[in-house]
Amino acid sequence: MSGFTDEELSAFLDGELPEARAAALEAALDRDPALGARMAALSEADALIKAAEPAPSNATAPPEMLAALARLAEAKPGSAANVVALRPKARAPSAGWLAAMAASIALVVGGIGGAAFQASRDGVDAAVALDAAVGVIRPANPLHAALETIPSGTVAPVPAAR
Amino acid sequence: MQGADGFLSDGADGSLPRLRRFATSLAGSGADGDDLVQSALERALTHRESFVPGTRLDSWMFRIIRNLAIDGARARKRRPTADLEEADAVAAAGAETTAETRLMLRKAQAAIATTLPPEQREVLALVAIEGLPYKEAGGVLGIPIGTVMSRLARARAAVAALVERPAEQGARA
Repeated sequence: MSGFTDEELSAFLDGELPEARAAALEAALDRDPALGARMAALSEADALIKAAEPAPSNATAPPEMLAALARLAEAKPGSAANVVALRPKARAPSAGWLAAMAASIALVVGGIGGAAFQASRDGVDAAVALDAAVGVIRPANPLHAALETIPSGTVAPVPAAR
Repeated sequence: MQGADGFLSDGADGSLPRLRRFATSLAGSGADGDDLVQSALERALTHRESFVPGTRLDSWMFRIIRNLAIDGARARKRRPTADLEEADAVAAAGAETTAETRLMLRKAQAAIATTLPPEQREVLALVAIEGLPYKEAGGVLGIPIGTVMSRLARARAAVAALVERPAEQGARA
């Protein structure tokens, strides 16, 4: 057995596994195909989960909702500066183990992850973005290179993924 | 089209899309989710003094939405069929998506909407989808980080099992 629980693999995907343990996991993924398969399955599920629920664009928000938002903005909850920047996880899993994974899984996971990110960012329907992501990925496509270097389950902007 | 002064804003569209997506995942449909967001925005306005400066505004809003969802769930039954209809609509939207990817996406949507217990769905929504750190998600849900971790792992494992491809099962007919 690999000695890593599903909870740890899941936390790794979220960048929430403590540094030392994450490093140990990355090393183990390099030499343990069974562990890699478990990781790939969870990572793929995670990518699908992220892609399954596109965030609705404000263009589809009811007028009364936008009005309520504006009133709330005017009221300034609390008293300090309220803007909280929402950024991707500071520590994402690194790429070392990806190469050991089956290429088809990497392509699907990476493609969906990238598409979901791009879709949520641009307000594009995730299903449409998926088309672009999984349809054709040639070596000349920047997405192809990205898939080689970005760990699956990680979301990252890919210039020509659409 | 977004709140003044950058309020609830983290980009071109602000945070409203995230609040709506989270509410939809709790409510089971987009329409019910939007009702939740509307109520949450109004409640946030009347209870604005309860926001603690220096904490995350999005977590505060997620918590309000969740509390309202719990109140609402007590009052009426969920409608899981709406989830499947919406999943179909989303899946059908990508006409040229490969059949396999579309099938997996649909399975994932159905798994999230109908198979996962609510306590797994909400933690999945906050962490995997909205990207909250475990600590923030635990604060929103009122549960320890260890519980966040275990629910996430169970939810992902459940989705993984449900979308597993025939080739990987070794039981291709």
